[in-house]
Amino acid sequence: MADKKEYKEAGQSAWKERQAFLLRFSDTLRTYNNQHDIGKAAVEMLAKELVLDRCYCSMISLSKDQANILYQSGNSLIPPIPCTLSPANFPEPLMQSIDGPFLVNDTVADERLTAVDRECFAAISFRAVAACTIRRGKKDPVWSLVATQSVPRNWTAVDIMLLEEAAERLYGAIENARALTALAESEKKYRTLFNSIDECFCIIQMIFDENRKPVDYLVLEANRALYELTGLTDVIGKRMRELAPAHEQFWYDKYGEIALTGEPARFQHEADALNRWYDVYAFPMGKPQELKLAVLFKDITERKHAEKRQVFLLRLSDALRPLADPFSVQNTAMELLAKWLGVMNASYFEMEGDGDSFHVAGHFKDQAKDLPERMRLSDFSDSLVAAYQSGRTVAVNDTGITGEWVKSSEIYARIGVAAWAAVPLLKHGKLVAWIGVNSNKPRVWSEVDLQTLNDVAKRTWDALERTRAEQALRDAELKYRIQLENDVKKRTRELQESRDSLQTIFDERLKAEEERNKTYLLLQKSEETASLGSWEFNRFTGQLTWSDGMYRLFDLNNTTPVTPIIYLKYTVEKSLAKAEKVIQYIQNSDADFEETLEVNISGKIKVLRIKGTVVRNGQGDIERVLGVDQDISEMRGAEEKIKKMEQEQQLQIFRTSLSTLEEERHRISESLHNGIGQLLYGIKINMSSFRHGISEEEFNQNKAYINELLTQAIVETRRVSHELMPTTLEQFGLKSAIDDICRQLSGEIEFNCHISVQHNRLEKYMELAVYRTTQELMTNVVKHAKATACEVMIIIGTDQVKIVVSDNGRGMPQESEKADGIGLASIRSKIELLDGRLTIASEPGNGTHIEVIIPHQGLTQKPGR
Amino acid sequence: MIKLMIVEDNEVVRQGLSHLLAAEAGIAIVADAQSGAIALEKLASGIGVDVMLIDWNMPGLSGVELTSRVKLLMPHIKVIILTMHSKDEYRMQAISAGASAYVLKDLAIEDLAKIIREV
Repeated sequence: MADKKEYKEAGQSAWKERQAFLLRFSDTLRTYNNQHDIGKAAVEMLAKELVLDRCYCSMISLSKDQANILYQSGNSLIPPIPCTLSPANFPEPLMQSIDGPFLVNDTVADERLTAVDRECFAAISFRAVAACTIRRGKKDPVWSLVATQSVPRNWTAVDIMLLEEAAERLYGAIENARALTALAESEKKYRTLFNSIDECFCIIQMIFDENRKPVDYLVLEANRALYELTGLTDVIGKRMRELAPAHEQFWYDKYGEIALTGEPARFQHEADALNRWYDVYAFPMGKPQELKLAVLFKDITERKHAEKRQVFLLRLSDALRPLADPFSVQNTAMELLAKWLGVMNASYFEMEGDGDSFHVAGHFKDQAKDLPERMRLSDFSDSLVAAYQSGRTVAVNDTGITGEWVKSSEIYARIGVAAWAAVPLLKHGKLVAWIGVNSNKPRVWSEVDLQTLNDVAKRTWDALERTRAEQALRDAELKYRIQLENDVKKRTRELQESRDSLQTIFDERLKAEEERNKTYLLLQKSEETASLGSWEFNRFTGQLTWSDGMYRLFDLNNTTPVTPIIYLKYTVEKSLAKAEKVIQYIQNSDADFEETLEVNISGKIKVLRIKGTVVRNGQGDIERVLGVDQDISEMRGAEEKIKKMEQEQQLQIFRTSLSTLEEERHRISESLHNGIGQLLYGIKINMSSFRHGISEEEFNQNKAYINELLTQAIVETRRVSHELMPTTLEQFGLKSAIDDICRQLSGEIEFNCHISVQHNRLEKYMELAVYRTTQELMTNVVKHAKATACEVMIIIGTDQVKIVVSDNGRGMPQESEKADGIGLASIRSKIELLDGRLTIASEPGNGTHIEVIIPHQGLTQKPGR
Repeated sequence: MIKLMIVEDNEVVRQGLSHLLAAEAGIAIVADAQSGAIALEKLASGIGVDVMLIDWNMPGLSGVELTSRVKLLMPHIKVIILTMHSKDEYRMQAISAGASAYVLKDLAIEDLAKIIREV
């Protein structure tokens, strides 16, 4: 700002005039509330006072390079300034105006200006310019008051001072007006909002007692909704205790707490005195010491009642849901309803089929009289019946007052009903039931009450329908279950039978399958062990199939394809003709066949016996040929071995027989030579003594001696003869024959012979064998044992014969036992030919025990031996 | 006088031979034995024997075996084998064993005495 002293010096009188103008200027501006009016008036006054060609004020925004011309006034020498100028077009004035007032006496002559400045000033006809700028901070011009002339002008200090002062005052006036306008608008908006919201709003100031206990509050402000909601007409400046004396202490305490703590709170609470529920949001306002609160609240009474009703209805549904019979449903519903409404009784009436009769289906009473069991609609007034039938809810708040539904109060007084309400229930337009409640004192039935009655009626009806349906369903289910059970039983029986039958079939199949597997395995095993293989030739397809055994026989992989021709490949030359025959049989024969081939398998000659069987189908055509090939090489070898063994056995038998025969001959020869021969030789020698000159005595002695020798010779001859064929055996049996041997051999050795026969007489050859064996063993004892006693025991059992010969002689030397001793080898070989066995137990000096066992069966099987 | 020992298991034959040969001139029966073993025992006892008449068939040592033993121990003793076997094989066997004569048991006593004297 220019130094005022300087201005004063410039001209005291001029300044005084200007001051007078400034006072006028301010007074004028003050008369306007509107910033635009102020602006317009200001530039007009200034243009006139300073005799300007044009005066204007502009709002500057350097960041946008924009100067908006707000108000202007002047003459036509300088045409109106465009609404917007660009500060960049006036670089020098812009630079100067940052620091202070910008003054140009002549835009053409002023050297500070740039060409651009001059050109732009010329464009808007400015020759002299004085601009006073209001800055934000130091360097940020925001607003400017500009005085211009179309001709050069020497701006005086007074001019500039006036302009600066005017700029200050104008800017202030405009800003003030703008703020007032904004405030008024804000106030207006607040009021509009204040009054337009549905919630009640008030500003209160808390009043505490000396103990800082909240005791009351003063209502400072309240909106329209509050008046509407509370029905109060004048609350501003009133105390709450004054307005609602019964207002609960809760509210004072709660608001007092918010005022003291400064903590806003939201809560729901019931105002019992007003019978309302409120949802409240309260927050502190202004300075804490002012104890002011803004309270925003709304009435949620209906919502709360609806919630309570909803809770009740849910409870009702929960209570009815598990009930299974209609009676319980109706009674329970009525009890809950009566208790919820606080009435003396509640009844559920149900219409009957005739459309007139109805009865009490469910009832709950609290100190009320009983109702008749059955009633008729026709006994009631037509208007009431019509109301019910049209589904109209009927409520009487006070039966003491007669009206549409109450013709006579006395009747109600007699039954103690002061108020009643009834809600009919229609289904498909037909009256089916209704609920009636009675109060013993007058009562204003609320919407909620009646709505609840309606809902209870519906829900009870629905529950009844449900229970009836369930009952019907249960009956049907029971019926169906019985039917189903019967069906299931029947079906189960059928299935069991079917299953048993299937099981049997399955078992049989399984068994058959097992058998088949077993047979297959057996076949495989058999094929393996018996060195055989089986095959099948399909006459229709010409396909030959081999078993694993076949491939094994031919030493081939079991995937090798085969045809009957394969026999030709493996058969040795000498069997080729037979192989061709086999192929012929397989392919064409209509009869079973058997052939033996010699084949060469991997360099080894095998003998195969091939057997084939033709299989016919139902029509009698030959379908397949089944066959078995058996490697009988080993069998052949075995047969040959057996044959050889048999031959060897035969030879052995022959040798043994021959040997026996020889022995027998030798024995007979011995008997003849040593026995009879010697006797006869002895007789012959003695007969040599009969010579001439022999004395009679000597003759008689010799004669007697020769006679004795002849007798001995006869006995010996008989013995030999007997030995050759034991006649005793033939005539008197084995026992007598053995006894005979005992007798004959007893002498130096005492023979004790026992024979036990548990079996009928043996076959003749067997008897002879037993006899000969015993005889030879005993003869051996006589000849070699040097015994004094010998036990002989023969037991003829059912399946074997046992011969035991036991002596007390010298025993056998060990080597003799190995060599079977003298004569024992021949006995042993003969016994072995009879499948028997001979065992010897002997110790030197302790006698010999020989046991022979000959099986009986063997004898009968080999009678020829 | 020829000192003779008779070895014969058959008692009738042994006694008959002893009785009849004792009556023959120039023959003296110095011993008899019923088996080969007894004969060898008697020879070992120091009996002087010129000729032994040995039966072919005897239990224990056979006539041929006894002959072999005698000829081995006392080669000067002449042995005459007496037998009922007439086959040449028997004769050859007896001669091989050392017997001086092989005589069948059907020979007359006089002929037997003559052979005893000649061996």
